[in-house]
Amino acid sequence: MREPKDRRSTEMENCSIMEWMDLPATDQDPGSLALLRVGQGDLRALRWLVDEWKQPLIGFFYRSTRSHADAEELAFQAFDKLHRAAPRYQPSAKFTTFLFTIARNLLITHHRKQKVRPTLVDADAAPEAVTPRGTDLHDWQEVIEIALAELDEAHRTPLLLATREGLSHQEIARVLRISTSNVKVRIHRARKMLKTKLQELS
Amino acid sequence: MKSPLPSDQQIDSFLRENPARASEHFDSRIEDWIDQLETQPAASARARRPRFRVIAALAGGIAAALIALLPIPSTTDRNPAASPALANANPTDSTPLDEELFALLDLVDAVDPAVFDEPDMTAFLAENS
Repeated sequence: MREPKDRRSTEMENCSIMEWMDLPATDQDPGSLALLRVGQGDLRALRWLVDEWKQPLIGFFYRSTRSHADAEELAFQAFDKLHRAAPRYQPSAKFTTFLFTIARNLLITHHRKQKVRPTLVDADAAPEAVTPRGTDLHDWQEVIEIALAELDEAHRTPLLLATREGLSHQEIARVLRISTSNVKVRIHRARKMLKTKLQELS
Repeated sequence: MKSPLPSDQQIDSFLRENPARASEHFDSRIEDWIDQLETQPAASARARRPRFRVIAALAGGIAAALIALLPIPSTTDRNPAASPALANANPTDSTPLDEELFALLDLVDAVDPAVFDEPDMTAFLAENS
């Protein structure tokens, strides 16, 4: 018999996966450890992974799509892919790298589909003016979101992975399958492009 | 007056903020999915893979058998003498296509061979010069 959801969530929030699953404390990446257990058919570990990573994933997808529905759909697909890949998972890299490689591939497929099936918008209509109401950062939120969504994926993703997820340049290089120096260049360019777009939009 | 652009640090702190929280719909969808995985362990990817291998092996075997049954032309088909089976074949075993071909050959044989002879150009030139 399954435990009630609320009790499970509270237990998960208050302890690490090692404590929660009665595992001995190790230096191993908790995400990798959990995914290895998912590969062995342990669905408690899958539940832990979902609870731990749903917010970062939804946030990452939302920043790239600006659609809450799309962000949740892509996050669900990412967990489904993660579960399917679990039996073949080799912890050669950090779990975060593995997860965001899946996320990025899903995002690319999503963007391709969007290009094939464009949204019904009036191409002749003037873009809606978005003006920050003051100097407070809060007033810039919408403008930054629009500017960020207008960046191309090759620049937006490394910036988000570095700032939002705190991935190192080396880890981002593994996700994007590019060199570390290229990651640095892309992040630098992304910041410059973002500033230019903010100037244009404000 | 334009407001000053936010600094890199301000942009970073904005990006670190969580822009969207998981909705109740998302949470219940995840719950349903994991419930389904719990109740249908046979539907997992590991369980599906061996079945796929069996199906692929069967399909491969059927394809190989079909290819083996196909009449592939060989050198013996082009040279009937090289094949005892063809050399001893009954001429009455011909197909409708063969019948048409034989009829055409008979037609060619029936034409006067002189029709195909080259005209005597020397005599022709002597007469018209």
